[in-house]
Amino acid sequence: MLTRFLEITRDRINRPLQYYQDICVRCGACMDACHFYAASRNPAHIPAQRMMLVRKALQGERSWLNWYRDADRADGRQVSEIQQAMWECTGCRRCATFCPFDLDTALLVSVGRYALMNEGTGLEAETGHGMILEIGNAEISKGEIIEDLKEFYIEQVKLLEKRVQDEFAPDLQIPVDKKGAEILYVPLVGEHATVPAAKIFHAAGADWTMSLFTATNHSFFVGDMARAKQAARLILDEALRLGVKAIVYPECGHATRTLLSFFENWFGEEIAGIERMNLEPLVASYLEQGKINVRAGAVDTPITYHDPCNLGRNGGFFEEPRSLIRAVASEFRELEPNRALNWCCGGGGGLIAVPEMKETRMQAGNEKAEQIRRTGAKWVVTACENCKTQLGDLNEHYGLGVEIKGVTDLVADALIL
Amino acid sequence: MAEYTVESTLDARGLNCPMPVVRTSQEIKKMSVGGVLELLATDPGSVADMIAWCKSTGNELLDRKTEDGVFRFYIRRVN
Repeated sequence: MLTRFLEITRDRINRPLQYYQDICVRCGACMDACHFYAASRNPAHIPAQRMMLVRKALQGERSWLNWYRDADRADGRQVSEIQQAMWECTGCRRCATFCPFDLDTALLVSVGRYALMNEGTGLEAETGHGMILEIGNAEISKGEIIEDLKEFYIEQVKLLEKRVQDEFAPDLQIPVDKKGAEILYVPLVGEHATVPAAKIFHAAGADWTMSLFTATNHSFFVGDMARAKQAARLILDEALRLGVKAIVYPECGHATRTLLSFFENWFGEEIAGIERMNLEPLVASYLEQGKINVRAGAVDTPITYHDPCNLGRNGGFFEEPRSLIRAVASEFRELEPNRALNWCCGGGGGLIAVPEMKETRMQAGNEKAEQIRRTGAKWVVTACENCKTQLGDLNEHYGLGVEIKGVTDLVADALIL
Repeated sequence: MAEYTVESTLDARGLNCPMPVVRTSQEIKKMSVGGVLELLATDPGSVADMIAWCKSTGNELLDRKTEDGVFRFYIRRVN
């Protein structure tokens, strides 16, 4: 069993991953940092054990010292444990923050997921994670259909533009495919990811155009870096064709991570002249520079902010969203803990897209739900699509009685034109 | 527009990403092969996403139309 899994894992274990496995002394500092383990007390969820399971499986394959190393043969029990260890993880990297050696279990999980996907025995279908792959494939297919669809797409955007003009500003525009624009804004599916950004760009007098594609990159969630690069290539090619100066990604954690941490490595010189940024810091800079103005105290409802892992812990954007919230809200309450120590919502790592994971997500989000309840806030604001969906589900599941909003929703609603 | 009978309708309006695709995929798997799914959406991004999904999964996009700002897709389950 797991023949292909072991082949791929062995092939993709690079020097850092080998070090991680060798260095980990299983001190346990990561145990209570993991929201999955805290909720389930399932040993397969302990970050150190996630690594140990893979290490044992690899040793079980090739070493005569198996009896000494307590290595496991790849039997059914081990397969089930490895599946849990790899799939029931959001890659939030809170464990790495607490690890005295900074060991990055999420990196191994990424490799493990890719290997499970390629095992060829339908393991991903067993757990429902084939859905992530399905969405990732559709993202790549979009490149093949977009030319035929462009005209229709632009017509639909015009309909949306008309609606926003009627409710917000008659001269607002949502440009698409505009050559020479400074900013290429890559949205998400759903007008909630387009309308607030359009209002803010309009208020700031930005020279922008909207992408024909969306920012999400589900292949990244399953560690399939070749496909992740293929999907990202569509955005790069569009940016180069239009001659933009910057690519701006929306309120989407994993997509922002690909843009800020992987594009340079994937595309090197090709991307060198194009700035890459997330919408939150860009809007914060508009506010700081006086390019946009908002009504201070426009919101008097108690608000709290959930740091998305990929924007905060993995991206370093802690203060920008807070500066935007404080500019419009009179009662901001921090979740405890917050910033780099923030507890993951339980919906990252692509798990939102896997219907079979709903119960596990709700269990893993128990602590987050309690933290929200303790703030007494009525609005929970965040800057990641997956977090918004998960927080919405937690709200319903735990009866929190809150509303979930995006940071840019708040800003767009408080704009002074 | 070709003649066909809608087996199931899915309202994907207002859903967060990637739920329009997830729900469509789930819904179509419940349907009989050859059955037609009607999908409602209001944002332009769904247009490209749904057509791309049909292409990559081998399902057939029969028709699309716009009525009062609502996009309607008709997808036939192929396999």
